[in-house]
Amino acid sequence: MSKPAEIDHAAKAGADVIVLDLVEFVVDKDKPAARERVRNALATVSGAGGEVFAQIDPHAAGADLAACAWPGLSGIVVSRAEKPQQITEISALLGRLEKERGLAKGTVKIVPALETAQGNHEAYEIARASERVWGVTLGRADLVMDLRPEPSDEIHLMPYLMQRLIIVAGAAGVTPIGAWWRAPDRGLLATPENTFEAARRGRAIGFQGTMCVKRSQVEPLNRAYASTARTASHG
Amino acid sequence: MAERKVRRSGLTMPVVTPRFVDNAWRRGCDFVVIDLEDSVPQHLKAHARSLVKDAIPNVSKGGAEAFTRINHDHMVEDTEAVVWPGLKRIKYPKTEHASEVRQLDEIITRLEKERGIEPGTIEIDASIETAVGVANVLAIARASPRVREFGATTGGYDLSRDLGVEMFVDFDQFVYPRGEAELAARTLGLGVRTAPFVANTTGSVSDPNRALRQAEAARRCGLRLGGGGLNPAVVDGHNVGLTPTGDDVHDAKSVLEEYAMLEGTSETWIEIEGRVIDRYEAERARELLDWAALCAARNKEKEEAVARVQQGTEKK
Amino acid sequence: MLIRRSNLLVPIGDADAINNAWRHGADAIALDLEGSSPCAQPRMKAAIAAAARGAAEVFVRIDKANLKAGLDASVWPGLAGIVLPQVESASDVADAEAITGALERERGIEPGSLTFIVLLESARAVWNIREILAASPRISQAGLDEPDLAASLGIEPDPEYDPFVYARGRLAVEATAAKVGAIGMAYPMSVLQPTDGSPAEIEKMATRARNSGMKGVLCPHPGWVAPVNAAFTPTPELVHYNHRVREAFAAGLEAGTAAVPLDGRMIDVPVDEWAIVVIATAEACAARDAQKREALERAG
Repeated sequence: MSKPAEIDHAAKAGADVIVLDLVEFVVDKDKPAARERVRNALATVSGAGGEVFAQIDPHAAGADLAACAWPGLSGIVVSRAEKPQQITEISALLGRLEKERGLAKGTVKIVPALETAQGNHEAYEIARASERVWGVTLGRADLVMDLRPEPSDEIHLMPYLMQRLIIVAGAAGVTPIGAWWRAPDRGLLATPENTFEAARRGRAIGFQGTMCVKRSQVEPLNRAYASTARTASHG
Repeated sequence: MAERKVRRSGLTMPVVTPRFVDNAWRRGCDFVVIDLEDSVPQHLKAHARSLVKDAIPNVSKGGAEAFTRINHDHMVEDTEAVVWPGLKRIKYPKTEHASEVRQLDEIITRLEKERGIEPGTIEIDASIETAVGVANVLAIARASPRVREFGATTGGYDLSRDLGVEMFVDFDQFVYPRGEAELAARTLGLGVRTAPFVANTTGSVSDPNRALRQAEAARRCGLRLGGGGLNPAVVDGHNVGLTPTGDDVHDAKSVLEEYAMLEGTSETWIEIEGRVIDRYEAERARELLDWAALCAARNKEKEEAVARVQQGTEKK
Repeated sequence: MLIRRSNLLVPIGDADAINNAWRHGADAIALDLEGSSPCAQPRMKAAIAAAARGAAEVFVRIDKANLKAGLDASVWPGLAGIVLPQVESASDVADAEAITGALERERGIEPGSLTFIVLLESARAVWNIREILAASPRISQAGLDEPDLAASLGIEPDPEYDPFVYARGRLAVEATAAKVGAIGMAYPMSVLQPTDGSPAEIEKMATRARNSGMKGVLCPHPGWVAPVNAAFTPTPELVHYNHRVREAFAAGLEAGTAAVPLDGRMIDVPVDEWAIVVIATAEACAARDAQKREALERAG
């Protein structure tokens, strides 16, 4: 959200969902300005037809949600979600904001990003913490937990975490979002071909759509998840 | 996390076999496990207990930390026999319930007090070697603050026997047990003890090349702790494989220099020669430099200890 | 030691298959009611008797939607147990338990003698496996129904990517912890269930299943039975090796050590314990095979 030019591009990328980010790609000093831009960005991006999510920091939930909960917002991604209580609190805040700002009650969805061991440990409770939880994802767990490639090119621990998440999501009745990345791919640098393979593998184990960080990755993801058709691009 | 220990390599030695115990200090291990369990015949268990107090300074005189492995079914009498000054950790095999760890903690706490050992210093290594243990990993790992490192055995003999599988196959049989234990360790902020799967279809326990490959693979995927071995031939491979190389250190320093360029800007990442430099990469680099320094200090400590022993021997 | 390596599923509607099921050498035969309405009691009794001619344990796989009617039609003397599909929670097991218990009492069957094999077919079931396995002491085996589990998760199976490493690992660990036998075939055969797999291929996949912690396989085709039995029976070479392990270990003990090298491997207590298990398993399989052979000879 600190790069206005990217918002316009994102709107044209063809993603089913666009995620406006206030956490990963915004440095601290730019956050207040980024928050101020969200309302206009929502209008720009939602006009393009896709759903719009915002990625927020649960430790700044009040400020981030106040900046994001405007007409046009479909849902939020909770970065580094770790506790069910975080989700219930965010859900309550959203309820208040929906009422104040004339959004339909209960419509803003929540996708907890389980990027830490603690978050994964409580994945089931987190996924069940609110009716608003629509999906779960590992987000950038490999980076946050510092998991690196094994000789097989699998990222250490990720095969276990991915399959566990898919079972947890199924048990909790929410959508598992992700792709099965392997070394040397990494979100920011993965080529369209590797992105397609990661999505194809992800789909084969039960993921139903994924998030990506570059516009060039949207088309291969849409292609790989053709019948389930859920992709999201960060802006 | 508490103070990080450098525990890359170790050997498990039957305490009843004097030639193994007497030579253990020469092997370059970061730790030596004085074994009362599976390598000691049943009829020698009582004799074995009487040997531990002297074995502790014996195995650690080359700078290794002295650990012991006690018997699951003789927790009380074994623990009485092993808690002496110099002992750093007790390995409790086939841990299945948190209550076992709590009981062991209580016994150690009492003995530390009685025997003039600083309270809370002796660690517990709660080994997960059965299905029941895997099912209870989290409760076990948080049952005592003495549990500071945790993981499930990779290709362990006991877990294989419990699950009824042949070992030494060409695929990874323990994705789930290892994953459960590692998730518990990371959730609780404990040191992670695991290893990536590297097939061992021969079952060899003394292949130095395999030991090196396995340890290098572990280091490259971010792991720091070794599981130890049974044969002196694997010690060097574990030490070398888990120590950052000169290239690793050089690379980490350049990552930090590159990351410093982002400071004060609005950018969160930069691509340099096909590689992303961001806060995660910088964090990795800092950790690696810390670890490299710790390894160097540990190596020096062991060299000095060995030199002291050799000088002492010459004087005599 | 429970030896139930192969359990052959036979659709209740296929009279020929029912009458010939006993000839294939399966340790167990499961008359399959899933997807069909329970047939008349006399026909079930006859089918159970027919299936038992080769000394197989006879099971009935019940349709979950017709639980009560299915059990009512099936629980007769001579039945070894029930295959319960689509188990999702402890209460699913408790429902079957209550009806089965009542029928045992009514029909002069020893209370608690009928055993359950539970099949998990959804993420919820995999997640709840501990409470499911603890729900009844009747449960002797548990497995994933992988085709249905895949369908419930919206997975179109790709032979290259096994989606159930976690689920199968959880099954193996939780079943072992609950003293229940995990059953299942290795991926992708577990999902594709081809009718044309060669016996060698089936045996290879079943061996892989055994080395993943499985104790037997629910066989969708008679062609699976012989290779599955072979895969779950320790080979003579393996038995021979394990006798050598026992000898080497015993010699080590004599010499005052319980850690002995053998062919570059290290033999200690758990290795010796495993050798005992392998040898005992081979003996139990041989005894089970002798029972079946005698029954076949009697039946002509």
